[in-house]
Amino acid sequence: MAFSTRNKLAAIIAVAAMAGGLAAVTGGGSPAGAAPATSTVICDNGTVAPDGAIEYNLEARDGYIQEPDGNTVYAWSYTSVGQPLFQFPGPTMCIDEGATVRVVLTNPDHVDNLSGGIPAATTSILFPGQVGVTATGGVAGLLTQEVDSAVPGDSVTYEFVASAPGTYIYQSGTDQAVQVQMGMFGGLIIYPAVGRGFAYDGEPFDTTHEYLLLFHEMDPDLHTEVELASRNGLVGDAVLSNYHPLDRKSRYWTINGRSFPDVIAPNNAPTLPTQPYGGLVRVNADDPTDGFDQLPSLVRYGNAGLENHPFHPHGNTLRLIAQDGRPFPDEIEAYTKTVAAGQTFDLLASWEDVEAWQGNGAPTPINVPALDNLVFKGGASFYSGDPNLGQKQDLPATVTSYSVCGEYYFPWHSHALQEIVNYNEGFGGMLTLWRVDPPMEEVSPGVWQPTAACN
Amino acid sequence: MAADGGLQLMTMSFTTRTDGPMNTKRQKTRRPRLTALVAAALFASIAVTTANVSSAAAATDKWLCAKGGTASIANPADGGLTNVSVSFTGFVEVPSAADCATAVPRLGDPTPVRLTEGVTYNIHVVNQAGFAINLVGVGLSGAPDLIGIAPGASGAYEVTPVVPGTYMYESDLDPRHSLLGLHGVIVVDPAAGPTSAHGTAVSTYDTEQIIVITEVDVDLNNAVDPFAVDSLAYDPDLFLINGQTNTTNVQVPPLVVDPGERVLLRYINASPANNTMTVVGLRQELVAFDGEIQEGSAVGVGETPLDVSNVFLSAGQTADAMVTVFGSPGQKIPIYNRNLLTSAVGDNGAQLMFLQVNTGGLTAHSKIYFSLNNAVRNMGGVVIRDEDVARWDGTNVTMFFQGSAHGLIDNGANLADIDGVDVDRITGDVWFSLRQDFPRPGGALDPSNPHAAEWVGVAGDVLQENDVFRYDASTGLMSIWLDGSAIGLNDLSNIHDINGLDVDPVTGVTNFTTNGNISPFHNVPLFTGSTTTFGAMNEDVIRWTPDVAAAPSGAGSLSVVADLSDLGLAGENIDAVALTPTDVMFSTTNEYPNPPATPDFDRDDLVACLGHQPPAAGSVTDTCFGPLSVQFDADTLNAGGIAGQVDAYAIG
Repeated sequence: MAFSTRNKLAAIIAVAAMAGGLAAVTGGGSPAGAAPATSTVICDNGTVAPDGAIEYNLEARDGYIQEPDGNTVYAWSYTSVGQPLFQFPGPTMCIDEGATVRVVLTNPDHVDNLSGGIPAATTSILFPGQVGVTATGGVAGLLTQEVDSAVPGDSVTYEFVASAPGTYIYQSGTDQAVQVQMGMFGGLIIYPAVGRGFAYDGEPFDTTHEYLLLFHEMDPDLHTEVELASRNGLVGDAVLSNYHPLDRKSRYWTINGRSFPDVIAPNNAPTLPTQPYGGLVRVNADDPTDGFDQLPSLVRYGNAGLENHPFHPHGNTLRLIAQDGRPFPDEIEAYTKTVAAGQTFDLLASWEDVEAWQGNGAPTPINVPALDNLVFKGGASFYSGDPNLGQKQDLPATVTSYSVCGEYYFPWHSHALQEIVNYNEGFGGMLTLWRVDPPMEEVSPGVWQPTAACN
Repeated sequence: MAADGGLQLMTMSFTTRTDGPMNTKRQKTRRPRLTALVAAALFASIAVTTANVSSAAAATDKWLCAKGGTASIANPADGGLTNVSVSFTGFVEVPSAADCATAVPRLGDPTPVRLTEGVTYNIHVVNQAGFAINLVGVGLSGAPDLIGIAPGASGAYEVTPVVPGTYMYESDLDPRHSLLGLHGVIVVDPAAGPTSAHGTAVSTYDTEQIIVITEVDVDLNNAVDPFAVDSLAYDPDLFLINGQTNTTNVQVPPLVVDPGERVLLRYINASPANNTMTVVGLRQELVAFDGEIQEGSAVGVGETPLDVSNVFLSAGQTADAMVTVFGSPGQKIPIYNRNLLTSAVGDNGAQLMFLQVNTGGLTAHSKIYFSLNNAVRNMGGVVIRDEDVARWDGTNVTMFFQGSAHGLIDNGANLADIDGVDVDRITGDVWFSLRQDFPRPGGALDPSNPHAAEWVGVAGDVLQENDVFRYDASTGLMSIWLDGSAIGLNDLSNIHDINGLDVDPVTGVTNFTTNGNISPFHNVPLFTGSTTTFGAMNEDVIRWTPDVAAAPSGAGSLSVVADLSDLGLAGENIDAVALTPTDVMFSTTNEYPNPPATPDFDRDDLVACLGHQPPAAGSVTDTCFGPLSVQFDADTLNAGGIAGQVDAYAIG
C-alpha cells in the first residue's frame, strides 16, 4: 500500500504533538503513574544567552552511583550548575544545527564525595567530532584549556558552532585514561535544520521513540582507590597515587551509566537518583495495512568508554544510517556493530507486524511453551503467554510475567558476553531490552495513539 | 590498476614458487590479477637457486635486514625522566646486503619500504635475527612461506604491488615475532607518482604522517629466550606510536603543517589490540583500509569518503585517513588512541602525537613553484625555460606548467617569460604575469599559434605585462584575472610590469609587486570615477582588494600590505612574492647588498620576513620576527647568474 507524502506529514505532526505532551510530563518530575514509563532521550536544551548562543553551565562533580548487585561506586561526572544531585553521565545536550554552543565548565571545591567538585588538579571538556572549538580561560593543558582546581572559581568557556547534525559525545580532555574512566562524559545531539523529527536531512523518525545509548565500563577498585585517597585528604594529582592504569579490570559495564536490569528502568527512576537516563528501547510496530505510516525508532549509540563493544539486538536487524555524526550515502542493514571507543552510530529500529497482518487480526491459538522456555530468570518472564503481538494468554501460576499488553521483548547487548554481568553475576552489565508494542490505534479519524493497554 | 581499467581489488602478493598456483579462492571472488604477479621467491636455506628469479622480468632490488637491537623508551611512570630498556628484533631497509652489518633497526620504525604500483621488486631479506623468520604482507594475498629464512641466511620475495596504499609486513613464523618488533611499513605509491595515496583526487595529499601503533610486554621482549615465554602470559606495559611513548618530557616529534594542507595519516596497527585513532578538532576522511579504497559507504569509486572522528583499526589493519589542517599558528592538534592505553596516569594515554600548525617559514614538506628569468636551465634532467613554472618537492624538480604547451613560445623579438606566479596545488590552476608584452596566441600578431583556442577568452592582440592571467586547469582555458590598466597600471613602460604575484582564488584578493616605483605623483583612476593618488616602491607588496569576492576585474581598492624598504631593501626590486598567514616571502631582481656576507641574499633566493607585522599605529615600520632569512636557494638547482635568477615564486 502506498501512502502520499501528505499522509506521512500528517502522521509526523500527530506524533510530534504527542512527543510534546510526553516531554512536558517526564521533564518536569511527574507524579508517579501520570505518564507511561519512558526512556526516550531527555534533552537538556541549555539556556539562550543574550547574544543568541545556547549556553550550558556545567560543573565537574563527584558522587555515587548504584549497581544492581547492591554495590555503590564512587564516580565523577558533569552536572548542571545548581542541580542538587550529582548525575551520571552528564546531561545530554540537545542543540539545533547552526546554533552557537557555549559551555562554561567549573570545578567547585571538593567538599566531600557527595556534593562537591572532583578532587583532580585540573579538568576540561573535549567535543570530539566538532570542528573549530575554541577554549578560553583556565590553564593550558595537553589537549585543551583546563579548569585549575587550585584557583577558586576558575572556569573555561568552550564555544563552537553546531555545524553538522548527528550524535556525538563530550568528555574530559584531561588525563583521559583516568577521568573518562571515572565517568567524565555525556551525550551531545545536534538536530538538523529541518527539525527535531529528523536524525539527518531526509531521515525522519518517531520522536516519541528516540534513544541515546552511551556505553562505558568501570573498574570499581580504581574508583575506590580514588575515593579513599580523597577521603584521606589528598588533593590534586596525589589523589591518583594508587591509581594504576595497567591494573584496570572492568567489572561493571553500563548503558547510560546504568547496568542491567537497572538499564530498563524508566528515566528518572526514583530508585536511581543519580542515574537519570534509562535505556529501554521501544518500538511501535507498523501494521502495513492500517493506513498509518509508523516511523522507525531512532537509536543513537555512543561509546564513551575505553574499550570497544560489539553491540547487537536480537529479534531483528537494524538500519545503520550514520557514523560519528556523518550520514552514509545509503543506509546499511546492520546487526552486530562494534562500537569502538569514542565512536557513535545512528540506527533506525522498526518492526513490521507481519503475523497480525497475515492472520487478519485473528491470532492463532498456541499452547503455552514449556516452562523452561518461559522463565527469564528467577521465575520471571517477559513472555505474554501468546506469540501474537498485542495478545496475552494465561501463564502457569508460578511464572511472573512482565508483559503489559502482549508486547515483545528482545535482548540488545554487548556480545562480548563477559560484559553482560554485574561483577560476574548475570544477566547484567551492558545489556538492555527492546520492547515492541502493537501498532498504533486510530482513536478517532486521523488521530493515532499507542494501544491504551500498553501504557 | 587492472588492465581492464576497473578497480583492481587484488592488493599485492608475496609469492613463493613452492606453492604452485596462488590464491585461487580469492581469485574467484575478485577480479583477475596481473599476469606479472606470477613470481618466484628464493631462500638460501632451501634448494632453490637464484637462477629461478632471473627468469622473471627485470626486477628492482630492495634489501631488508632483520636483526636485534635495544630501544630506550621514555618511561611513562616518571614522565620520561628515565628510560625503559627494551630488547627487540626489527627490520631495517639497507642499500645492500653488505650494509646489514652496520644497520641499526628501530622499534616501531615508521620508515616505509616505498614501492611503486606495477613495478616488480625482489625484496631480499638478510636474516641476522638469530632465529628463522619469514616475510609476509599482512592481510594480503599470496601463498604463505612456512619455511622461512634460516638464521644467518638470506632470501628474497618477489612482489608486484597492483593497488597503491599503506600496508604492513611482518614475520609470522611465530606469533611472538611481531610482538618482538619484526614488522614494518610498506607504502605503495601510485604509478602516477606519490602525490596521492591511490591515484584518486580524494587521496591527493600535501604531506603524509606515518603512524605505527604498537605495544610492548617488556617481560616478553627482555626475556633471555622470548620463545620460552608462554604467549598466554602476554601483558603489555608500554604503548607506542612510532616506537615512542608520550610522556611529559619526551614526545613523538610533531609534524609541522600549514593551514589548509591535506595531511594523509597512514595508520598501521601493528599491535595485537584493536585500536581507535582520533584527531581532536579535525575530521578524518576515511580514504582506505588495508589499501582498499573506501567511499562514502563503499558505493562507488570517486565518491567523497565519509569523514569520521574515530578510525577503528583491528589488530593488523592499516588505514589511510585524510585531514585538512585547520588552526592558528602554533596550535597543536592531537592524534591519539581513544582506547587510552597507558601505563601511568597523567599522560592522557601514551599513544599520542601532534600535528602542529606552522608558526612561520617553510615546512619540511613545502613545495616551491618558481619561474626563471630569461634563461633555460637543465635542472636535474628537466629542462626548465623562463616561460615555464617548475615545482620543487624537496627532492626533484618537475615541470608544473609548461608555457610552450599553452602558446607561450618565444618567437623572434618576442620573449615569453613568466615573471610572477601563483598556483592552486589542488586544482592545478595557475595565475601568472609576463615579464614583457607578448602577442596573444591566435591574435592578429600570432594567428597561427597552435594553442590559440586556449586564449579565445582574452581580448586584444597583446598579452600585457601589467596584467594577470589565469589558467583554469579544469577547462584548459586562459582568462584575464586582473587587468592592470584598469587599476592604474599603464603599459607605457615596464615600470608598471607586475613582476610578483600572490592571489587568493576565493576572495580574489591579488597581491603583487611592480618592476618600478609607482610614483606617488601618479594619479590612479579607480572605478568609482574619481581619481586618487597611490604610490608604491618596487620593494613594496601591493594589494588589490576587489569589492566583489572573486571578481578581481571589477571595482576595488589598492593598499600596501608590506613595505620591505623598512627591512633594509633599497632598490633591489622585489620580483617574486609569496604570502603565508604569518610571513612575507620574496625574491629580488638585484643582489641584496646588506649584509654582504652572512646571510648573503642572492637574487635566486626565496627570502622570508617571518612573522611579518605591518606598521603598527603610530609607526611606519614593518617588522619581522628576527632578521630576514633565506628559505630556499635556487642555485642548488642550477638556476645561477643574472639570467636564470628566479623571478617568480609560489609556495604550495
